[in-house]
Amino acid sequence: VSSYIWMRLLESAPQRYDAGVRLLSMGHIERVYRRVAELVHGTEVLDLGCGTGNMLLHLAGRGLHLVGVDISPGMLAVARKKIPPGAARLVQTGVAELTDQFPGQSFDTIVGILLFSELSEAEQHLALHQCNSLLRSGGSLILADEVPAATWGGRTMHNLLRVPLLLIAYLLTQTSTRPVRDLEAKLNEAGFRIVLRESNRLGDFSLVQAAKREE
Amino acid sequence: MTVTTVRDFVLDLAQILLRSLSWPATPGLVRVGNPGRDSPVLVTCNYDLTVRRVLRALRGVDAYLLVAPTKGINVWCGAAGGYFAAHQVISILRTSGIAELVDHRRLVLPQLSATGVERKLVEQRTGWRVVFGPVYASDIPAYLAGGRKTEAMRQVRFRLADRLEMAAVWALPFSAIGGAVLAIGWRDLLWPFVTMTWALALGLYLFFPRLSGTVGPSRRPPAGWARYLILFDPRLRRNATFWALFVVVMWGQAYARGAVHIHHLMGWSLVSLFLMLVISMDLDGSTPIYKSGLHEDRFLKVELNTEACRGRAMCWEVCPKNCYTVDAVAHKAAIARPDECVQCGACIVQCPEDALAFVTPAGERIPPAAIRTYKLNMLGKRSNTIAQAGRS
Repeated sequence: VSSYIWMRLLESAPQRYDAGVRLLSMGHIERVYRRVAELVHGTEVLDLGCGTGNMLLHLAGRGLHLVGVDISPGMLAVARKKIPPGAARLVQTGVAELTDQFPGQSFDTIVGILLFSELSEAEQHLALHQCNSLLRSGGSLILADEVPAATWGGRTMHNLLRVPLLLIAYLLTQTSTRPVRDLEAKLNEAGFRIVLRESNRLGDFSLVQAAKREE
Repeated sequence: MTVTTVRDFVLDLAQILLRSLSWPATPGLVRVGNPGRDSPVLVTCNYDLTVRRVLRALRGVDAYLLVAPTKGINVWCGAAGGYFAAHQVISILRTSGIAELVDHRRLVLPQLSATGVERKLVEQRTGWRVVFGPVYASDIPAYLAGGRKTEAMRQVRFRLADRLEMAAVWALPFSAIGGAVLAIGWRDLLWPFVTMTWALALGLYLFFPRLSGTVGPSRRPPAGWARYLILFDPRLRRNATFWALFVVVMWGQAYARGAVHIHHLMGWSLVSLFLMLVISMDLDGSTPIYKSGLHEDRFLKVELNTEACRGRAMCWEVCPKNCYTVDAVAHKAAIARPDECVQCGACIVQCPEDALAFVTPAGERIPPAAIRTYKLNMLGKRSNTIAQAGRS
């Protein structure tokens, strides 16, 4: 779980990213991709912060119209090599510009894996509102990310695992991820209804599916 | 001294000495003084040291400061590495609520962000007009008061204070790691080692203007792997002379104390040689005024297509080495000082006519769009990849 801190380290070297993620998550991240792929519905799917395209690879070949968005051109360059030609459209952009890139109500499902932990509070807020306007009626948003553990024991374990890695990650990358606080409250505020929530044993990694609320 | 000054001083010291650690400031909007609806709107990165320095420089000015989410990386590194680009500026414009606070739409960015922030994209997406302010925050009040940027405000420098900071950046980890090892079983060597490390680092950077005579694009370091062996590099000669003087002083001092032990002196001379070589290996790269000697993009040349140029002077506005002149009558720019170029790419990123481009020693032209997208460092893969990106 603490391996997600390495995201920042790995993102600075997109070429090493996949091997690193597999090694450090000990397969955990693959399970997340598979679970999210089960939950994706509809035909128009947007992967926010698609990185090197792992989630898109899990969705390719199902006849979906896939769009991947990432702020890093380096990550997208790796994704372009991995994803079969024509399987997904890749767009370089930030989360504050989604509505510049896509018309309203264009997607059935939007997924965001390990993305929100890299955004500032204000960016999370804006991104959720933009996602809401990009989703069609009945569409849903699926987020999987680091969250603060709910129990004292979980937080202690999390800190024990995280702090040493945090220090190394700081030294190497000068950046780090930050667990997403009050994710469900933020989703509610942005016009979503929580449909499903799953957590790991430590309670510091969550998967949330939220449906666009019909006003 | 107030609590704030003491806190600032301690933070300054910690952040200068431990530069390699991340010190991100919270992105967002900061009100400076008592800003109104006509007050200027400035943007900076979210590297805490920079934010506090900008705020100190803005004492007595009423303005809004937007701290963009650049992952805690400073302005020039962030811009060159893709962390301070148009996307981060658009993000802070849209998340800060600044549009509701002012009546104008004029955004002042740090000049050194021009390598990364594509002005046209910000203007198209947000309707804000982007201008690049001075290189140094200390010039912002004069720039705002005068409404124009002087040549000095556009020039990047490697001032004494900057050089001392860089010396500390080198000396601290060396003396800390070496000192920690010596503290285990060689206590008597600890303080001589620490003193020597700091003296060498401070000396090399203090005398940098004297030592840097052999750098510059006209003096090429050896190509290929040999460039890492600075021993065969013309850049090393003056640094080696400095080290020789250092050794003479060290031996002289031992003689004066009557403590000439040949083994000790030979040992310390070798240790100081090693330290000098390590610090010198990329001495140019640790300065803002020369390109790193270790990277291939040092050999890239900026080429100006005079026919396409319409003299809009963006290159002149953003070049941190004042390489350009602009003929206001003929509406044409010229590269007056090509040898000064540090290959930051800012002029190429900002040229509205795509009249500027990097050309490799093999004569290949790298399309401006490739530099705008991938930045010059191509996330560490540098110019080889850029050339490939340009072809594909």
